[in-house]
Parts: sequence; C-alpha cells; structure tokens
Amino acid sequence: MTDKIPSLDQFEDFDFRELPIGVYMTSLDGQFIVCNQSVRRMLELPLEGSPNASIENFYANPADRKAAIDHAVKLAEQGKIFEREILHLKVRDRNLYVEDYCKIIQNSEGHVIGFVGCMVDITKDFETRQHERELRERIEELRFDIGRILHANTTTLVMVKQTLDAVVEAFEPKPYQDASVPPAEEVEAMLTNYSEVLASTIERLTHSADEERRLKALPSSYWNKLLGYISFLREFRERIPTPESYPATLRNLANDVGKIHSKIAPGYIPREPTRELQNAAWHLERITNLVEVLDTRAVVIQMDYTIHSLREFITSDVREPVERKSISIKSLIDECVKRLAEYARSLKIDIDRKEVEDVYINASEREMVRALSNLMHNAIKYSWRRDPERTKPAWVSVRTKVKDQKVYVEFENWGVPIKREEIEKEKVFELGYRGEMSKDRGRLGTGIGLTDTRRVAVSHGGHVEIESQPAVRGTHNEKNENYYEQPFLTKVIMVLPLSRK
Amino acid sequence: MKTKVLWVEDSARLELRNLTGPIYISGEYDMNLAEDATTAVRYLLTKEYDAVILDMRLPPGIDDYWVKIYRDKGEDKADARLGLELADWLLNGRTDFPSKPPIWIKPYHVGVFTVENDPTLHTKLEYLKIKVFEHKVAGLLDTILVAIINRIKAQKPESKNGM
Repeated sequence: MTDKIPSLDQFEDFDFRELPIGVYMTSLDGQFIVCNQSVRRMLELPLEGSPNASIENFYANPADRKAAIDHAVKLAEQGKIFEREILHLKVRDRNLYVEDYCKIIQNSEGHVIGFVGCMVDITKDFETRQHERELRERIEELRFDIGRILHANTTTLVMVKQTLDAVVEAFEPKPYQDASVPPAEEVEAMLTNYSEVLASTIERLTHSADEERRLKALPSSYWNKLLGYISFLREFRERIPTPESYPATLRNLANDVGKIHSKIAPGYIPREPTRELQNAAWHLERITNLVEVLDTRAVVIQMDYTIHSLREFITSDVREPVERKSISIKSLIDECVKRLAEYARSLKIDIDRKEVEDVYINASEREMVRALSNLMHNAIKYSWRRDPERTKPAWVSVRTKVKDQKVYVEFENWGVPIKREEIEKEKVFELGYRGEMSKDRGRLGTGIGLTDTRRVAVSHGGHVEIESQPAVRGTHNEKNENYYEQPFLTKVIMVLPLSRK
Repeated sequence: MKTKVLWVEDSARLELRNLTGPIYISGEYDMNLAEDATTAVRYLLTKEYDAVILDMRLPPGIDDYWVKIYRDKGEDKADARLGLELADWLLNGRTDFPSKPPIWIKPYHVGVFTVENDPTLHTKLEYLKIKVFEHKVAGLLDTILVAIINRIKAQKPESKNGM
C-alpha cells in the first residue's frame, strides 16, 4: 500500500511541463523563455523545441498588453500578484479567454525583466457567461418594451371604451336600459321585428308604381336586389348559419338598402313608400350597429383586464419588493369586485358575495389583489350567460371558509367546463395553456391567470385547488361525446395561511 | 349555380363575423364554416368546393389525429399551424392520416387567409403550389372574403374543347 502514495522526492523531481494548466515565463517584451505543453496547445505553438513566439502577438487588443504590464508592476509594488485576470487572446481568428495568474521577475537592481505565471483556458465558460449576460440584457429590454407597449395599449383601450360609451349614448332612444350585451334571444326577436318591417316596406315600394315608372326610378338590377332582400329578411335565421353573424349580416343588408334608396330618381314613385324604405333600413342598421357596439364594448373591457394583468405579470419581478402586511380577506375581495364590476355588468353577470369571513392574511396586497382578481375574472369570463331552463341570471359566487388556520377563498361559476385531465395533469397551471373548452364563443385569454395566481399563492405559503363537475350530475356519462357540452359548476379555491396576530 | 365555399377559420363566427355579411346577402355563395381541423376534414370529405379558404392557426377539434399533432406541438395554435398541416394532407397526402384526401381538390382551389406572413410559411405554400395568400390585418375591407374567393376562382384552368 505504502508504495502507492506519492513521495516528496517525486514532487522535487516533478516536471512543471506536465501540469494540466499552462505555465510560462516571458521576457519583459513578451517573448516566451519557456512554456509547458498546455500553453503550447492553447496558443497552437510547436509542442517541442523553442516556442519562438511572443505573448504580445496573441493579445486581441495590443493595448491591453501594456495595461496588463502596468497593472502587474503596480500590484508587485504593493507586494501582490496579478491574479485571476481574464485576458482576451486571439489564436489565428479564434477567441481565447484565459484566466491568468502572474508574478513579475525583477533583477538584482529591482528592474522588471520578465514574468512568470500560469493560465487556464476558460473560453467556453466565458462565452457561456457572456451569452447569458446578453440574454439577460435582452430580456430586460424586452420586458421594458412589452411593459411600455402594454401600457400604451391600455391607454388606447380606455380611449376606445370611452368612445364606445359615447356611441352607445348616441343611440338614444335605445331599447336597452344599460350598456350590457343583450341576451341572444332578445337580439334575435328584435332583429326579426325590424327585418319584417323592412321586408314589408320593400314589398310596398315594389307595388307603389307600375313597371315603367319603377324602371325609370331605378335600374332593374337594383329592383332584383331589393326583391331578393325581401326573402332574405324574412328567412335570415335559415340563411345565416351562425346566430352570432345575424347583426353584422343584417347591418350590411340594411346599409345596402340605404345606398339603393339614395339612387332612386325622384318623381317616378310616390314619396311615402320611398321615405318608409329609408326609415326602415335606417332602423335596422341602427339596431344592428347598437348590438355590435355593445358586443365590442364588452370585448374591450375584457381585453383591458387581460392586457393589464399581462403587464402586471411581466413586470412583477422587477418592481421594488413590497413588505407584506396583515390584510383582511374581505377587503381584498371587495377590491376585486370593484375592479371587475364593470366587466361583469357588461356581460350581465351577477357577482354574488356569499359568506365572506373577516379574517386576515399576511400578504403583498398588490400581488394578492391580482391573484384573486384573476380567479374572479376567469369565473366571469367562463360563465354561460343563459340557459332556457334557468330563471336566475348568470352569476359567479365568491365565499370563504376557515379551517386549520387557513382561509379557503372559493370562486364558483356555472358554464364552461374544465376537463378532468386538464385538472389532474395540472395543465391549467402551465404558463400559456388555455383550457380546451375555454376558447368557445371567442373568449380572449393569455393562459397566464392561473399560473400567476398559483405562483402568488405558493409564494404566500398557500396553494390553488380546482374542481369542475356537471351542474346537473348524472345527465351524461363522461365517455359520452357530448359530456363537455353541458354546463359545469367550476370551483377554483385559493388556500392561504391566516396571519398570526 | 352558387359558388361553394369552405372557410376554415376559428374566428369566423365571432371576431371576423363582419366578413361573412357580404357573402350571405349576395345570395351567390353557398358557404360552410369550419372552426377546427376535424370539422374542415368532415366537410372536405363530403362536399366538393369551388374555393377553400384556410387559416393557419386552427384548433384541432375532436379527431385524435389532429389532437395528437396539436399536443405534440405544445398545444399552441401558432406553433401547431394545423392549417398548414391540413393543406399538406389535402395537396400532398399524408401517409399517416386515416383518410385519403378528396380527389377533386387541387392547389388552385385553395387560398390562405392568415395573420402569419413569414418566409417559412411562404416557402411551404409555394411547395404546395398555393398561390392565393391574403395577410389578415386590421385595415382590410369587409368584402375581403369575396375578393379572395374571386382570386381563387380566377385560378381555375379553363376546360378545353375536346379534352
């Protein structure tokens, strides 16, 4: 065993040329006096014989060499050595970064006559670090840019929403009390009435004069178009396959009738049916525009929240950390309700505050309001607005309960299901993931809300639970193709530890 | 005879509903909407169209084949580009898809209407010989669908006498 341990003799006979790091001695002008194999390999020098090279020729920037010498001399005067300095060298066209440890050699009179030192090739690590630094800088720039763009877009959305509010007001007298999107069946009934009025008006117009006079008033192609519109207006529900397109299509038609009306040459057909045509087309166009404006307004309000929360999420870790404090859950929920009241109103959805206990948690208010608002926003967004069998308006509820020193904040809604697999595999918590059933009816989303909420919950020592079950149990088997077509009751619960008073 | 059109677009009923108005009221088109890849395949296998307008970012629908591609590509419409996969099946065939593409369809039946406009997409469309492309941007007129359909129809080769 003992002969396997290196002896002191072996150290005294040790040849520095065998060291796995570069070892060298140079004259003051950089000429290699001696260097080992590692240096030769690094600098692609001959592996045997005289190196016949100067370190000076390998500096990527020759001025660095002088600065390095000055620095080494200065350190020597202080009794220190040149340690772990990174030198940027060039071997042919290849970058070489070395960590250099070097000491000056002085003659008997104290003049610097050369250097002795060692160097380690750190090119790979250095380039990786440099790449990481560049990436970090890029992310910072992007975050700044995105934050700024989203801020500008939020401002634009405020302007759009205000303008739409003004447009809605300008529709007075209007059939709706408020600015929320009317239920689809109400829209359909109203469009049916206005369409019938326009169809009858066109009919009366076509009967108001003989053919000769009619053709003098308008070319036959326009009369044919108007006649085609009569049946379209009466059968629009059959002709337009998607109810969502009723208002836009009828608006288009009404607008076209208005244009045809403006082409009627005066003096050939009676004024009354002509005026009636203009009025009926105007009324239909007006009502369809109102429906579209209300719809767009609701989308803008939703988009405003989406962009706002995206901006909050992106910039969350660059903000000054705020000290956590004891906050009442009730006040947090009140703040969420306040923030989302208009969005809920725009979709005619009631926010039902059930039992909300007056308990406290230790939290960052800004983060917690954002996290809870995400859940409430989802509950509103994924609510179905109507069900013929339900008399109750659409709703979302929020309630709390306290158990084992924890508060359970529960948001419940009736509508869009979350698939069992998406909950079990925690897909809904993945950044950017949007539930398979979440995209129906054009619901916008970024797939950030639940990820962000869970992140906030975990950072506060809590977690998030999700349940989604058919509203009426036993109506469909899970294997049935239509299982996820039925309304579901979905509960998303944020569980947080209570603060110790 | 009415022009038979299939518009494969997941926003057709909602955000882009304004574009369908001129189609419906003109009375010249028999248009079907497919909002996902599964529905598009069903229509394409049961009916012959004069024009097929494809979006590139599509959800898969319920067919396992499209769901798998969608999942394999990260469950993101932009990454999955199921519209392009659909075009690839229609015009290039795909040995792994359970059904063969309809024999009537040719590149001149197809147009692309999408928000995407990158060189990779154009290279692929060129490879599939799809020449009608319209970039979906906010400033388009509500008659854009009619314009795309007309461009697709104009590509159809004239049948020659005696052939």
